[in-house]
Amino acid sequence: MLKAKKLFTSALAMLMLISMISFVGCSGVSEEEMANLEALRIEVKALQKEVNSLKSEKTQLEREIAEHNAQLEKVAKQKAEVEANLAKREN
Amino acid sequence: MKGYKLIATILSLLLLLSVSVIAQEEKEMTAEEFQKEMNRLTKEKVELTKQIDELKSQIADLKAKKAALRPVDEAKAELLALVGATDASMERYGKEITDLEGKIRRREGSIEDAELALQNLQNDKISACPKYNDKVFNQLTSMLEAWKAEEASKEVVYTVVKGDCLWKIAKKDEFYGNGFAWPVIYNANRDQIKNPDLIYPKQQFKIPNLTEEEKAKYDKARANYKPAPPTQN
Repeated sequence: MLKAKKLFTSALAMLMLISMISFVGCSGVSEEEMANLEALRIEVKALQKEVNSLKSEKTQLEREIAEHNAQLEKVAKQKAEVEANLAKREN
Repeated sequence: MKGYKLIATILSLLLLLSVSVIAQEEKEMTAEEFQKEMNRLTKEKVELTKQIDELKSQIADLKAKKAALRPVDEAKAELLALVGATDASMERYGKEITDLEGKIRRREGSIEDAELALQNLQNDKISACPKYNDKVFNQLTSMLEAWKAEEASKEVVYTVVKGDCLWKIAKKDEFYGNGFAWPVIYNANRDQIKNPDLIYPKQQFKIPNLTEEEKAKYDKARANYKPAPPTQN
């Protein structure tokens, strides 16, 4: 009887131990997974940085083109005025 | 002995439990949360990658567009060629304008010289440039006209000497060179002249400049003048 009781206590302890281990193993996130997650976070951050850099490069190019076009437009306007003034002189 | 074994078993269980709880706390994330975060980050990565591709393509287009633009210097050179100028001659022309403007403002030199200088500036093709056109054809011309008007309105003062009459004064070359214009002197000095036939030495008369209209009127009077035939006694 005493032996049976001892056996029952040991079995109960083992059961608890196994259930605890399985609980921990199933419900949490492994270190490898966490490392993957962190790597993904770093990658996304780097991509975001690249997007920002490309956006500013694009804005800079757009501004340069607009300024260039404005200068060309100004010169074209001046040219038209000069031609009109020269024509006026000839008349 | 039995009691010790039981206590040891319970303590072992407590230790195991506490270790598992600590492990859970360190991870701070459930599997569900982990998966959710992984999904979010993966989606974000896809979107960012797509955005980067689009931006790179747009930047390449913009660079091509920029490279295809006509150089501003080339357009400016074409503009200068229209008036046969260079950057240096444009600068020199601008300086000449500034100099002439200063002379007119300071009433420096003669009006004739200023007129000639303005004429030269107007004849130069560079004057067709918008930067100078208004200055040369309007502003400087107006300033010069104002100077001329100012000179024209200046009155000369003449001191009467013995033997003078208004006719003789008006006839002097330094004034009107035309005796018929004597009423101009008379009208300008009515405060001193009661009778135009009577003027006295040392009187000081203002001699105003003739207007174009007055000049024409008195020139005509002189041209039409026919001396009366000599009387026969």
